[in-house]
Amino acid sequence: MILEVKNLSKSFKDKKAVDQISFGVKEGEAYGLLGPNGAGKSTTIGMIFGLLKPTTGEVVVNGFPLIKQPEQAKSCMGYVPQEIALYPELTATENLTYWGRMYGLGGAKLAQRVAEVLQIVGLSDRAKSTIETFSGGMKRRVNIAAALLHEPKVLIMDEPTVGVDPQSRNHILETVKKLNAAGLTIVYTSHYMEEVEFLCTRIGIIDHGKIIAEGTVPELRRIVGEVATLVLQVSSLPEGLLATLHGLSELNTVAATLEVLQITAGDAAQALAAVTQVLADYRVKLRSVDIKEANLEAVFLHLTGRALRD
Amino acid sequence: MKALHIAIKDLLITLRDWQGMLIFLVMPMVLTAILGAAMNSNFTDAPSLGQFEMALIDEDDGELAVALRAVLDTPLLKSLIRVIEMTEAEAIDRIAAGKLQVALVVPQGFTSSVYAGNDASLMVLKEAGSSLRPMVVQGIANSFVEYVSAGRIAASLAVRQAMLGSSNIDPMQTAGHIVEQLHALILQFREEVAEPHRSLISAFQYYAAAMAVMFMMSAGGVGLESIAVEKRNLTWERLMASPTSPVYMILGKFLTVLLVNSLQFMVLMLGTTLLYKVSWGDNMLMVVAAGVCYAVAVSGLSLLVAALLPLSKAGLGVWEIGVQACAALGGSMVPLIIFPKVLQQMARLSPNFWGIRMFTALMGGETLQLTHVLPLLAIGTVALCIGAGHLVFKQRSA
Ligand SMILES: Nc1ncnc2c1ncn2[C@@H]1O[C@H](COP(=O)(O)OP(=O)(O)OP(=O)(O)O)[C@@H](O)[C@H]1O
Ligand SMILES: [Mg+2]
Repeated sequence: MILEVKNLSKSFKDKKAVDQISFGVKEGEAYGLLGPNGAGKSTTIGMIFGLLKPTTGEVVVNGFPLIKQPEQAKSCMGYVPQEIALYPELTATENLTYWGRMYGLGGAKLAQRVAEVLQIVGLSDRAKSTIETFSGGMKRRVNIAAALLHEPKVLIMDEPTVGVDPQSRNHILETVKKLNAAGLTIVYTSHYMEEVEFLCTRIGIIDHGKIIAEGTVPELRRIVGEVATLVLQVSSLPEGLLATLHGLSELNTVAATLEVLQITAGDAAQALAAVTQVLADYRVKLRSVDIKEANLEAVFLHLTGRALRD
Repeated sequence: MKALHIAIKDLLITLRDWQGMLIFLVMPMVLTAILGAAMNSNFTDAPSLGQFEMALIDEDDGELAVALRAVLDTPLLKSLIRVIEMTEAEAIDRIAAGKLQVALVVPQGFTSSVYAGNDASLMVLKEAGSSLRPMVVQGIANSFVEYVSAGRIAASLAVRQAMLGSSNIDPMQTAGHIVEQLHALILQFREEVAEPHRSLISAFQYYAAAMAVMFMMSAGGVGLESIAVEKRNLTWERLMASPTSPVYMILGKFLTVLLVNSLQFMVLMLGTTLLYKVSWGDNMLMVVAAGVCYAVAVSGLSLLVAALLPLSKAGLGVWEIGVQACAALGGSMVPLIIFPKVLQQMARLSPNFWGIRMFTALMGGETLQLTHVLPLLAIGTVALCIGAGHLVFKQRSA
């Protein structure tokens, strides 16, 4: 385990922001913390970095207990805060050089790493511009670059795409995906389920300071049960078709209204293949298909009775 | 090393926003010119040599009057006061005519009164409106009376011995005896009230020092502000998430103010030297060292206030009020000599007092003494330790 979080709790006055959270992240994994606003994501990350003192629980990073060996533990982690934490009056290079020094880098190695991380986030050509002249998305990218300088064992990102245009967002997601593919362990918090689904191999769903479900995407989907809904528009509904469809083992339920078939199935692709075969046998034309996969949104709704985003 | 990098980064940011710093350089220069010109007559007519006339009215004609003359004849006081003997009536006439500012009266029976162990005092006559010079004379008179009263037993013993040993009293011998000991007292007096050498420096010199210490402290707000900005920008959080101990952060901020203040001092020193021909002292290195010592005090205080106050606009406002209060109390606005004794004692609470004392001593041709720098270094270190301790504690228990 690169990162172990054990029974972390944090209370502000009488409000429990984080309530007995435990999870572990293995080397090379991309772990997602998915939860709505105010769920306790930033508070959890604050405690992982020792910015907040936990009410209970402990954090172990790469075998170093945060309380006893804070410097070693912190050296293993890269922190991407939810807000831009840079000096607007300084250039990208000056900012990165400064942060590199704070992680104990220096000399030629530091200069080389600054150039490398600027390359990674695609801002080599803006190295000499001050941060205040950057767009929101570009600032976010430097914000990430600053966490990569010391080649951390685990990169911990707190909603790194908040308030970013779609193009920059894609760039960031692709960059993180690449870093993970290259072996970097990632912890990624977000309230965008698409991001977490795209990036993460394992996900913890957090709400009101508690992890209410944890697993891979398929594992979480299974919580909802029926996985996908297929809505098919067909040219006609000949006699016997419905009965044949009911007989297919790939489908869970079949309902028909006029020329629309509503089917639920565990695996949308297999179900669609079987249904098109049957339709061909009955010489029925398929006019349109709409597949709604049960997503993490549905999982969250199922677990809490609330939508992930209000 | 990390602390230094933090400070260099802050300095870079401060210099990029050089317009913000301009006020800390231009304001003291302008105020030095205004106050220096306005107060010049209050200091001395000849800026370089602060000698003034004083009438001595001797109605006592005793041994102690002779001793007082001997005291006034010491090189130390001779450089400051030109003594003219006359009668009281003459002195009053001259003062009324505006030809004389101050007269010192040794009343009839002063010597015998002191020898008898009774209360006795010297009287100061002064021109209405003038305050600075009479105060100097009053100070000398008080020291003298204090000394001879405290030493009256010894003095009377010496006199009795002289009477027994020989039939002639030798007043000069008694005076010499007293002067010898008074000399130390006057030196100390000069140290404490700092008046004689303040008179020896010009108003421009005084205000160059007074404004420098005031605006250096004002610029100490940069430390507070940069901590507030780092907390707001979350760069403070990012630093705390890195393997950098909060102690470095605090040392870094201390160094930031120290660097900004030292640079500011050098600009002000060069500026007043070139523009107003102010002489800061014979040894530039010593003057710069003195500037850095004062900067240490300001840096420490800046951190202490940053630790104790909520870091907001209000916090900066409180700092600015503190700067004004220290300036007024410590003699940055008007020289301390015109304050009542109690306030003059309280001035020691203000770093400005120690700063002005140190710089004016250097301007007066003294060398930098431990007694000049120690109070400032002590203020800086104690404030740094309390401030740092408090900040680290706050960070650990967040
Ligand atoms: N310093 C604090 N004092 C009091 N309450 C706090 C403090 N910080 C956070 N909280 C509360 O704790 C809860 C969790 O906040 P946290 O910032 O961890 O949520 P989050 O999951 O990061 O939300 P978001 O997606 O909006 O960033 C919230 O209800 C918040 O109001
Ligand atoms: Mg958050």
